[in-house]
Amino acid sequence: MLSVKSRFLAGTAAVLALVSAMPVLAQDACLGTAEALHLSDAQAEDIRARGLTFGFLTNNISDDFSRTLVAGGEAHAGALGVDLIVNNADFDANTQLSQFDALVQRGVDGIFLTAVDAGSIGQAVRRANQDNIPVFIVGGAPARGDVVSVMNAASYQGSYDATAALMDHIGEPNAQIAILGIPFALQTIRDREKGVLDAVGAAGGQIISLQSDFSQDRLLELATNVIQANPDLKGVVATWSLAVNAATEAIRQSGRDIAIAGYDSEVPGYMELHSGETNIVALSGQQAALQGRAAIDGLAQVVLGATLCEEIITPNLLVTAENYVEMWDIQYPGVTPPWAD
Amino acid sequence: MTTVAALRMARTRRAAALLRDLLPYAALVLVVGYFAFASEFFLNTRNFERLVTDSATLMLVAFGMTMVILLGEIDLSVGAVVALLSVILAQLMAAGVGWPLAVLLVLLAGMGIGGLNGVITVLGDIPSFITTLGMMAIATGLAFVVTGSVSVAIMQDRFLDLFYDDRLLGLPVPLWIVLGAFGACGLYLNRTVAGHELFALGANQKAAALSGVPVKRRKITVFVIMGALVAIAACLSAARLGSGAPGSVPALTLDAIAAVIIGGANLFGGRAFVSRTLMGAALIAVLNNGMVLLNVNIDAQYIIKGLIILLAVVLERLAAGAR
Repeated sequence: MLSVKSRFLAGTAAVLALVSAMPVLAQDACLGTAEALHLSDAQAEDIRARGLTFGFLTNNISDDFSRTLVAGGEAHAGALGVDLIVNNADFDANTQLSQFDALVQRGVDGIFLTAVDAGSIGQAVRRANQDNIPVFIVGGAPARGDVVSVMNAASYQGSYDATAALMDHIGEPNAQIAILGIPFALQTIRDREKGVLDAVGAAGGQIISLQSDFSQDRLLELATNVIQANPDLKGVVATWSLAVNAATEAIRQSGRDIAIAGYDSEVPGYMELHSGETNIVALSGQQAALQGRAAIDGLAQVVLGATLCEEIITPNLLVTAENYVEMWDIQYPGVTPPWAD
Repeated sequence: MTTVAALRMARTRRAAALLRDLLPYAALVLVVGYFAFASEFFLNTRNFERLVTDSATLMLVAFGMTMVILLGEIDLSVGAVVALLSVILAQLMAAGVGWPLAVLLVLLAGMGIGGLNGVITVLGDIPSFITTLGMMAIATGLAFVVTGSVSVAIMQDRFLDLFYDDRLLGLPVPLWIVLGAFGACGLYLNRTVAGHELFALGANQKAAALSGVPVKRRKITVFVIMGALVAIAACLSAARLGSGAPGSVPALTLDAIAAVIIGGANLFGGRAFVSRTLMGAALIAVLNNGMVLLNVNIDAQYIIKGLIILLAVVLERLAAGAR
């Protein structure tokens, strides 16, 4: 027979085990990674038999990320027999709202979107909720309405890692760094900038300029001015694809030895790294094709009755001159690299 | 030119004038007919209500733009000012100001901005193109600065319901607001001395001045009216988005100008009609809605809208000699 003390210890251990297992149990109840969203063969067959229609709204189609995201979604939807309605808001929140409402009006089976402004899509999400249409969003949860999940690239970690590589490369205390970004009202953009600020701070550097714009032309002008105004500038962190291109060009034109880290690794960035004569130290690559596939899988899983976790993070790739060939195959599966031509 | 050639030219111009006058109505009927045939989701009450509420912002701004263009002026700042006023509205409400007072303050701010555009244009003898271009840049910058580029959520449900979801006599409130503004603008232009003077002023400013039309006062008044309509549009836009968004309506200015042109207005002044502008705005709204329902690529949407605008301008120029 167990003593009182033993029973107390055994009971305590059981309670502790139960409490410690709770997060695991909760985690198991939802699908929380892109891999976990993958449909089994039987599930895929079930989805094909249902003849579903999903809406796929992008905030723009002018950058490589969006194009790759859409291509990934379209390819996977095609494989699953899902009819995919793709619309591009061209950076206009009002247009996106109209597109969203039209999809609700059509009674689609699910909507995936990269919001122009997550704070401004909530009213439409509420209307989708009223019609029981699941909404899966990239970037950040809306202020109103319920979404099945928010998918995000590892924005903070990705930009932190790329910036840390830049600071390592520079290797100087108090190194002057400029940020070239995008004036987007999205959490992911703020996370990227925070990642840069933290990595620069951790390495003892200083941010001397923060500029942003939507167009590469204007970004080139901004970068040129920043370089001109700061003779001791050591590095530029560009927090989106067109800013990477603009920073690269501005530094080339200046003829100065200024290192670059970037968020988004796209064809121009890969070609820069392939050239072997670039100031780019590291690029943080989002896995857009993976996200496009996960968007379709996620909505399909919800249709089949699964629950997605509140947030699904897809990891970024740290692309450098040493590993760019390998990273290309992961980031753009099945796509011939441009240097192969 | 021979008499026969002159007669032929006159007939061509009259035909172009007729086509131009019919364009917004005929195009709207054709487009509605096509979408009703092509999409099972288009012709129903719910979509119609959504279409009306979604296009109310455009229609209000287009009414104001009709009067501005009637004077031979232009206002390029409207989209940016709608965004700025919507974030001011949202921030006022976030700061605890009740929605009626916030709406009133935004209305006054809109009239102030419109008045400023008018005063600088008229008293400074500066082309409105330049004045409003400057105002557009200022309003865009201010909207981003005051919000830190982050949209401001509106949590006062009464405001959101009233300006977006509520109904009056079975129709959405935004539709009543549009009808009210349409009626007021129509009455002002067609049933008041001041309205008639705007047509004279737009057709020939010097002659109007010599006839005793108070040119400066009339022009500034029109910009103030434009500002008031922009402010109401900002309230509807904020209610629709559920937030004040700094970059929310980049296409609004061009769509409003397009609606006026499709309505047969002369960009150089003297000729513009609120009723036809309403048709022009409705056409743009139906195109926006229907093309999404049919899953038409947004780039193709731009091309289609651009072709309709070009057609309207060509007809207007061809018909110019008919008057």
